[in-house]
This record gives sequence, C-alpha cells and structure tokens, in this order.
Amino acid sequence: MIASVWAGQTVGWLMPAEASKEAGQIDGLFRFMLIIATGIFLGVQGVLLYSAFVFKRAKDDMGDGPNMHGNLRLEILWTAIPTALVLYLSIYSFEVFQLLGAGSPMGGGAHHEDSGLPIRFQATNPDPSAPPPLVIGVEAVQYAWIFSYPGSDTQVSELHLPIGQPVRMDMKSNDVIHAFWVPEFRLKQDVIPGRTTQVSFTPTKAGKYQLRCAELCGAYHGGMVVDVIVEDKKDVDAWLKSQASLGTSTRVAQLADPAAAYGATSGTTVLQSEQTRALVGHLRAQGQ
Amino acid sequence: MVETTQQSVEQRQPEPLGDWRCYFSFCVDHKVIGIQYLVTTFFFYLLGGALAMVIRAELMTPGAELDRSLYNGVFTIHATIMIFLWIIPTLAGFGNFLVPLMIGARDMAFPRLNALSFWMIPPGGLLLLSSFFVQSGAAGAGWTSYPPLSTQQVQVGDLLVTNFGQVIWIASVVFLGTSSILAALNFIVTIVAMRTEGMELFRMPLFCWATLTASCITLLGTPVLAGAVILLAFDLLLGTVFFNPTGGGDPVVYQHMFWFYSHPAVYIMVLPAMGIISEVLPVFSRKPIFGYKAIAISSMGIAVLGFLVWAHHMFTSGTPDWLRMFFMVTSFLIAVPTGIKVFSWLGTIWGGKLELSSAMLFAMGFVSMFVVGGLSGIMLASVPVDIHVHDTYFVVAHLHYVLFGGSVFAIYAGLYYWFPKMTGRLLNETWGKIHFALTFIGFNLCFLPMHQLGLQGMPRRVAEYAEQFQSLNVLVSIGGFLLGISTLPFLFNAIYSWLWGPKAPANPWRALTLEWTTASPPPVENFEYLPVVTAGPYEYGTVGSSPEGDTPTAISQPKS
Repeated sequence: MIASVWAGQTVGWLMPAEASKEAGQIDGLFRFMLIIATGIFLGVQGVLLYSAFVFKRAKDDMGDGPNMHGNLRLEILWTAIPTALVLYLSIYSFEVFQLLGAGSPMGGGAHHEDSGLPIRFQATNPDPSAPPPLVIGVEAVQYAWIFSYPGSDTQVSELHLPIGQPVRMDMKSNDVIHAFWVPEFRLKQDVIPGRTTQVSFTPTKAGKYQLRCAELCGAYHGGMVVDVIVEDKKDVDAWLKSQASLGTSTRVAQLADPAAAYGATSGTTVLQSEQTRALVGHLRAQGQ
Repeated sequence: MVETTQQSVEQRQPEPLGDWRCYFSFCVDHKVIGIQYLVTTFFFYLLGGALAMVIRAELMTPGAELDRSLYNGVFTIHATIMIFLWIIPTLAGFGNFLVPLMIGARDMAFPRLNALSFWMIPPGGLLLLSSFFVQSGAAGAGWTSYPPLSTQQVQVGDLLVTNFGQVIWIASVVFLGTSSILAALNFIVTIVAMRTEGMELFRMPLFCWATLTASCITLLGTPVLAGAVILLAFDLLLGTVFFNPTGGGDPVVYQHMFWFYSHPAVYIMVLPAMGIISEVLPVFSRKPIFGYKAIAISSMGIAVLGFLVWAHHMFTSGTPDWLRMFFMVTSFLIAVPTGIKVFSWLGTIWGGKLELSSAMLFAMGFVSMFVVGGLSGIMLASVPVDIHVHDTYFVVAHLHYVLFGGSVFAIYAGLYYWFPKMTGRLLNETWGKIHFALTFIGFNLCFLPMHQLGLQGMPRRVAEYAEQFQSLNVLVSIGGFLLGISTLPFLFNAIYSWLWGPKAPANPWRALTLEWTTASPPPVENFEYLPVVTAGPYEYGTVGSSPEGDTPTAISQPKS
C-alpha cells in the first residue's frame, strides 16, 4: 500500500516537466494507474516469492499437494474487481480525454471533413471564456518542420509559442507520415499525407523544449528535431518580426543546429545538411 | 497409470525415429517436424538476437555510427525475425510435437501438409535475410511497414530505386503467413477430430486449448495481413494507389488492415505460451490447475476480444474520437480474462509442493514478468496516456515484457520441461538455473529502464537521441548484452545433454498428461495402444502422498 503510494510520487522523475495545461491531467491519470499497477505488481510478486520459499517441497517429499480444483467465490471476486476497475479507468480516461480538447472542438485529434460523426460527439469548447486559439500551420517534410503563423507569410523552422495562449496546430505532410510530439506537452498527433490533422494545447511554462518526430519517417527520422520555445507573447511577436525581415537564405542558415543536441559526433554533419537541404528544397519549391 | 505405462514401454525398445538424416528430409512424423521447427526457429532466434545486439551497440552513444538506412533495416528485420521466424513458428513447433501426444493421436490430421508448412519456413527466412544484399537494402520501415514510407523509392548514391528490400519483406511475410495458416488448419482438425476415446474437450490439457484458440485466430487474421501486404506490393510495383494519398488512396487504411491481424497476432504469440505455463505449473506444484475451465474459456474470451482492439495501435493516427473511446474500453476489458489466468496460476502454486526446477523457475518468471507487460498494457490502453507514450521506448518496453518476459520465458520453460520427452535425455539442472538467473537479470536490466526512457521523451526507431538519455541507454545495452550471453549456457546445455546427457525415463517429472505415458522419445505412431482417458489431465493429490500416484487419468492398455 505504502509502496504503491510512493510509486505514485515517482511520476516526478519518470516524466519530463509539465509544460502545458493538459500535461497535469494526463500525469494525474498516469499517477493513478501507476499506483494501482504497483499494488497489483507487488501482490503478484509477493505471492510468487512467498510460495517459492514457504511451499518449496522437502527434498524427499514425493507427495502431492491438495487436490483442489478451484474456488468459485474467489474466481468471481477476481473477475469482478478487475472489471470494475477497468470500467472506472475507462470513465476516468474519457473525462481526461474530453478535457484535452480545451480550446478547440473535441473532434480535435483528426480533422475529418466526412467523418459523419453524430453531433453529440462534437463537444463544444468547454471553456468559452478562453481566448480563441492561435492557429499555426505545420508542414512536415522529410526531415524538417515548417511553421506558418497567422498574419505572416513567413515560413519558419522553429516554433515559438506564447505562454498561456491556447494554440492549435493544423498539420499537413507532403511525403510520409510524421508525428508531432513535444514530451513536455504530453501530446502526440500523427501528421498524415492527404489530410489535415490537428492538435490543441495551452503551453503554461516558459522554457526551451524539443519537438521530436515520433513516427518513423526514414533514415534521418531520429534527427527530425527542432526547438520549441515558450515565451511571453511580445517576445514571440518580436521574433516573428525579426524572421520576416530576414531573407530565406539567412533564415535557413539560422536553422537550429541539431548537431548541438547530439554532441559533436561524426554523423551529425550529414544530418544537418540533409535537414537543411530538405528545407531549402521546400522553400525553393514555394518560390520564396 | 504411470506404472502400467512404464511396463508397456519397457517391453520394447522405442523405435528410433530413423537416423539424423530424417531431420533434414521431408519427414511426415509430427515429432520430427516439431523438432525441425524448434531447432530451425532457435537458429533464427539467435540471428534476431544478434541483430538486437547491433541495435544496442548503436544506441550506446547518442550519435549515429551505423549507416542510418542500414540501422532501420536492422531493427525492421530484427522484429520480423523474432515474430514470424521465432515466436510464432516455435510455438507451432511445440504444438506439432505435443498436440497429437497430448490428445492420444498417432499423428497430426494431415501429415504431409504438416511437413509442407515446416518446409516453407527455411526458404521464407533465407529470403528475408537475402534482402540485406539487394541494392536498395533491407526493408527499413519497421515491422509495421506503414505506407507511404514503405512504398517510397530508396536513394542509393544519386539514384532513386524501387524498394526491393520491401518487396522481399512482403514476399517473405506472405510465405511465412501461409505456412502458419496451414499449420493452424492442421491443428484445428487434429484437435477436433483426432482425440482418443474419453478425451473430451474439457479433459484436454490446457496447452491444447491454447493451441486450438491461437489456431482459430491465425486462420481468421493472417489472410487479412496477407491482403494488406499484397496491396502494398501492388502500390510498390504496379503503381496502384491503394494507400497513396496523391492518387486518392489512404495510408490509414493499411494501418487498420495491418493491425486487424497484428494485434490478434500478439495472442497467437502469447496464448500457446500461456498454455505451456498451465502445463508446467501443476506438475511442479503437485496440484491440479486452479480453475481449469476459467483458463480454457478465458483463452476464448481473449481471442474474441482480441479482434476488437486493433485500433489502440492507432490512437494518434487521426482516428475519430468516438472510435478511440470504443477501442479504449475494449482494450481495457481484455485485462479481465488475462487477469483471470494470472490469478489462477497463483492459485495453482499456492499451497502446493513446489519443485523449483529450471522449467518451474522459467514458468514463475513468466508469471512475474508477464504481469509487468500486462500492467503497462493497461496504461497504454488509456488514450490520454497513450498519446504521450505512443511510439516511444515505453511501448518497446511493454512489448518486450509481453513477448520476451512472456512468450520467450514460456518457451524456455517448455524446452526444459519437454526436452527429456523430445530427446530421451535429461538437461543439466544447474546450468538451467544459471541460464534462468542470467536471463532474468539481463532481461530486467535491458527492458525495465526503457519505460522511463519512453516517458522521458525518447522515441522508438531512432539511431540518434538527445544526450540526456545516454546513461539509461548504456544500462539498457549492458542488459541487452547480458541477455545475449545468457543464451550460451542454454546452448551448451542443450547440445551437450542431447548427445551425452543421462538417459531420461518415460516420465521424469511424474506428470499426468498423456505424452508422459509413452517412451522418451516416443516411438513412431506414439502409443503402442491408444490410451483411453477417464479423468482430467491434472488430478494431482487424489491419492494422497502415494509416490506412485496411480491416478486413473488414463489407461494405456489394449481394449479387451
């Protein structure tokens, strides 16, 4: 029991920092499941270890144990309790899942023009007082991320987000499936060619994080990483302005150097040039 | 019962199953085929393990030392070998050797089909390995081979070439899938039609129940996988656009088809393993299995539910929300029949007289490790948690706790338990215990820290990672290498004992299932007289502490 509750406290070092409004909810759910799981785990290991020592047969004892085939009451018990538990977990998870839609329609995970969802599943904005989300266009290419901010036709390769402002990513892919994942935000959404997928969240903690591609997308998948900077809104605006005044080539040259994140090892120069080449190629195709 | 059997066995020498050459021939004896399966697949297990060592060596440092495309090929082929050339066929090997013996049959229903299904495996495996040598390199889109990545052309130097490695992968999977469909058909017919007198369905050993259930899953699921990868081949080679969005296709459809097979495939890989555990635990606890019917029926429950959970692999794939909620609840529910099994196993050993042999240690290790995989599985079923840890090392940890801590531990338990029956020789127990200790430590050192890596933010299938993850990765790699080393005592033990080990009696473990009523190794056609079964397979303790244990579960005498 005590050990289970202790396990719940370890979430702090098991998980990275909570940097979005959604992260706390998800961690709470994870902590709850970790506590239950630790209890079950310790119970099972306890029975196994206890049996191994206490029920170990004497060397010359060739006899059998009791001819016992089962115990109906016990079996009903260990069917009913897990059933109740998983049903409770279903409800808990459902509630957390609904909260994840904060700032955007609950249909949020994917944008299906023709999904034909019954109206009741299109949950409305749970918090009408929240400001409208900042919608950022995301384009994933092998092996880079390209972001477009509203009211600016500059495409940038780094993500700056205003603190406390709900954001929504409208994501498209030109080649293969990628996945948007910032571990500190706890949210992940595949970026699928042929459709627009969305992910919504509210960054709450200033800092520098990493956006990592989480769906295998080819040879340099592991290097498809860019910085995500959560800062005050005025800093974001200033950064956007500074980017707009730069020429494309300068912006690309400013591209965050992935080599720095991995230490100076032999392969990384290739990695950077690949990523840069992908970006340059893309921007050229856009006629910039 | 045991006594009568031993008499009838001692009256004549078991006929030798031909000489060693029969193991390299199109032999139709189910026992030869079973051993062919086990030895061949163990060879592939070692190969797949060697590839895992390459992966772990690469991940010792944050940078990428290996060629990145080659690295992707290595983990893709590692997974494909472990699934399609080790766990699935090796369990079919156990089934081949054991099912006819356990139900009192002289052979499988279709012996020649049986030989054919084995002989599709070596060429299928060699074909897969050959893909490392084609110009495009081996398939590198993961064992899931999601399009459009898997249908993309590959850059070789300045050339863009068709991904022939992927084509070979598809051909090999279809080949191996066909083999497994043929085997499944054979198992079902054998179990339904070939049981000896008195062997009612609810008197079958639980391993037979597990094989029957897994075969039904194979028969229903594998054709869908074949369909998915054949459509993929059309996209690759013929320019169709089934999964190509630029032509109006949808890559997510492939994921649905793939997981419709590949989630139930987890149960193809784990149900027979659970069956092995249900055989080993009662024998070494000297107690009947706890809740026989509950275990048999929960297998069926897992099989049915198993076909209703596939989209939990796609919680971040843009699946509609109501679909995610549906698949979350079904995935949670599958914990119930699984829990029933685990609790029943604990009930089996509780109050018994435990003999901690190597087989028993691996079986208890299975229960202990499988629970970890099951619990992390429940966490993954929950959509909000899954969208954080999906496609991270948390999933890698989970699947290895299920398929290594689960299936492989059970396979080892089965090998230690049935080795005397298969070869007529006893394995060395001390080496067996060393093997268990090394495996247990190496396994946990390797896969436990992966949970934290995933939670902290390390994606799977990457050759390079952020520096903060290095210390845990080094720990994982050391565990991995230890796990690699842990196979050596087993290999040494198996080869030495097979050649020079002490001769095994017909029933060294004093077990009550039918395979132990005949000689070790069993003669051609298995039984001198077909046994007549009069009670269930686990009637330990019915005659108190009599060491002879003349429990009337079967009579192996000619019917007068």
